[in-house]
Amino acid sequence: MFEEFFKANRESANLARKWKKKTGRKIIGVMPEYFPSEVITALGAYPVHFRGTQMPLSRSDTYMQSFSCTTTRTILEQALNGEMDYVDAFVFTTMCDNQQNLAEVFKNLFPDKPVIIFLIPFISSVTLRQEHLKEQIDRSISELERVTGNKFTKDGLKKALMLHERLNTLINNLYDIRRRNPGALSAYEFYSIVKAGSFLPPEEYTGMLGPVVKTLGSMDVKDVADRVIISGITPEPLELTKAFDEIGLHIVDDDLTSGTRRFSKGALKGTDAKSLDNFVFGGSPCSTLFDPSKDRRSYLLDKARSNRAGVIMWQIKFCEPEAFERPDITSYLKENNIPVTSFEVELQMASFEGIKTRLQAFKELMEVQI
Amino acid sequence: MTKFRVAETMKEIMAAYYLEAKNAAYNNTPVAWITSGGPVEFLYAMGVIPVYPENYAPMCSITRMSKDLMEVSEAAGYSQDICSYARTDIGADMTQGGPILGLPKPDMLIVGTNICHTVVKWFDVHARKYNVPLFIIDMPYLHDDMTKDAINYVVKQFEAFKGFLSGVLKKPFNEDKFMETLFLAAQVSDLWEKVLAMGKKKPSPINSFDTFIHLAPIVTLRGTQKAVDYYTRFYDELVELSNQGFGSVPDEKIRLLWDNLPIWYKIKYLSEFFAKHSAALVVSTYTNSWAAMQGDIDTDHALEELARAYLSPYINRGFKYRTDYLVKLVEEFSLDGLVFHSDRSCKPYSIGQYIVKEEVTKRTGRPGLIIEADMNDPRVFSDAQFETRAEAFLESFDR
Ligand code: SF4
Ligand code: SF4
Repeated sequence: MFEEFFKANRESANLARKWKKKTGRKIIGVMPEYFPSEVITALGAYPVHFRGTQMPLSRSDTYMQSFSCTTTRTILEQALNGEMDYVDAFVFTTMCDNQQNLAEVFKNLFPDKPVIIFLIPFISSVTLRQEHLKEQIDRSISELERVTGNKFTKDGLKKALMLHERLNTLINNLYDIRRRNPGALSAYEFYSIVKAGSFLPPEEYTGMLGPVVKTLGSMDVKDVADRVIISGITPEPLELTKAFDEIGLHIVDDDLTSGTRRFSKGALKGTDAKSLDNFVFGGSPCSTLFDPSKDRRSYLLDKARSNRAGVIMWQIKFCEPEAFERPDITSYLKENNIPVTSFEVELQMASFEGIKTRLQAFKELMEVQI
Repeated sequence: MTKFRVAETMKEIMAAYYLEAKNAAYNNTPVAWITSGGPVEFLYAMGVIPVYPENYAPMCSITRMSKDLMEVSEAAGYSQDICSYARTDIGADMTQGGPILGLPKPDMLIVGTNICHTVVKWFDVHARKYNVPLFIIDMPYLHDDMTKDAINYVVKQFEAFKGFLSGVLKKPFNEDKFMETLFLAAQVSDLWEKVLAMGKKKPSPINSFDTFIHLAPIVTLRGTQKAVDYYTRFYDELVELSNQGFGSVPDEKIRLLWDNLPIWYKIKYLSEFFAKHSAALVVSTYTNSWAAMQGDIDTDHALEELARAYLSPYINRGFKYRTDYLVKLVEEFSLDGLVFHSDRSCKPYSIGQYIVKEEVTKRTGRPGLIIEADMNDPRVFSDAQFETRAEAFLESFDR
């Protein structure tokens, strides 16, 4: 049932090339996170998201120091390996310093591909935040119009919003099914499905998701023990999710930028200031956004309690947004008797023995505590 | 490092500043912790004492206390991979250790994003701990040219900042004092630029290690008469020295640029090392960042000018600007080469240096040296490794 999704992840570049050829649509490479890809669809192009992936690093070392996070380094490695040759233009957001400077690296190394910048506001005033987002999207749209050669129309937007709404609902259904019935599919299967959405055209992906969600939704509920929530940016390297499956730690929910934080706010509702603001800031608390109205500690505590789960912080080395929040979150959860642990990965990692040992120990700890 | 007559004065004014800050609570004076790129003029206008964790962290480093303080914050879970200023400061805050036994408690926290996003996360840690208002002024990274939109965006936030201050302090914003502060700040900036421009002289009476040390007043006291007086005297002294033919590096043969933050705990060592090789670091992108706002202020457009200045720092600019700027400095300062401190802590400054370095060399023919280090964490610096690479680099200048 999941083979199509596994394949999409294995052969993402080839698939994108194939789709491009078949549909004649332009492809926009979207860098993580918080650009509304709905507007790309509305312009008749197709968004492909890059969030870093497990791969050895070599060429990128010439351009980026080893203290840049491996999300950005593997993204550059992919580009240098020609795995983004089909991309017509890139959209970057500026949710962290690594990402911001990666945009400049791309401008420099790939001068033929336009780089469109969508600045995420880090700001105290909500009114100005909304105004700024509106300016950003208007500018991005006109740059995308130039790249795609298409006009941004109300009708095009309406259709795109409907499509993405459907996609978002399906993903949220998938998350709900897992919360209710974590035994329904393995962590590797779950995150492979989610990841495949990064590369497939939204229509295609929605078509694939529908039946899977239906089948999974009708499965009998099996109660499982050893329940955990994973928290962080993105579950890469994806192979590592297999360790959870092997050890028997059941991921019931997540707090990932590429997961819940992204889907919990729903799809874009329009390109007005309020809708955009909701699109960027309306989701669950995110380490890469400044939003003092949200508290990630209590959010995670509630989530852990309602799911009877421990919390595992999946940290990517050199990711400052996460690293600055980890100590407070850890001590807060501990004070509230929630088992919590963290591990650190680099995306090029091939062996996970050390992490597995920690996960095993955490499972044992949870069995005593929960 | 050069021994200037004014150095004593700097020690005095900095000591007086810290004393006043430490006693703020007794004097009922509010204290704000602010980032190095934050708009301090608004605070001086409202009688708030600005305190800079980014000035305090290097103090810990120069006094060899940073390692112990970082170990405290690391033990509390702060990763060794985050900015070492933040680790030092958080460690000092946890222990109330470090020079002057920690910083005075903040009444508010002020962040400007024109240096990095790290400061948002860092000050947020303090906001959670102290439960005081945190005000963030978004001064977006300029991937391309300075735009009207970016300036307007910052101007509107400056207006909001006035409202914030008057709300927290429960008094109207003091526009007159603000204008006065702006004039003083522009004067200081002007003087600082003149001080730095003395590096163009051959030999140069001042080098980057000197400017790193003499940066403290312009960061902390920008907008005060004290700073104006100080840099006036400093500039006069430099002119006098230069007229006597004084060079800060005896027998200056090689003229270099320094890119990125200083390596604080190694300043003396590096200064001696380069001097030994007759190499003078005559200009740095880092110290130049505080020379953005100069000259006469047009009172009708003061906030626009201020916004422009705060958007300008080198670290807030895209690579094309950085390259063009370095090429210009090569010319203006008659440089033979460039030294890039690849600073493990500071991603926004460092990522891209490899590219910029290549491009500058291509355009000017001047070679570059990369030093892998960290501005505040002595554990990542290797003398042997540095010396091997730097000696090879300096020997390549066949003089
Ligand atoms: S959010 Fe973290 S993992 Fe993602 S690009 Fe930024 S530093 Fe890297
Ligand atoms: S050293 Fe760099 S990362 Fe750290 S606070 Fe300064 S600008 Fe930000």
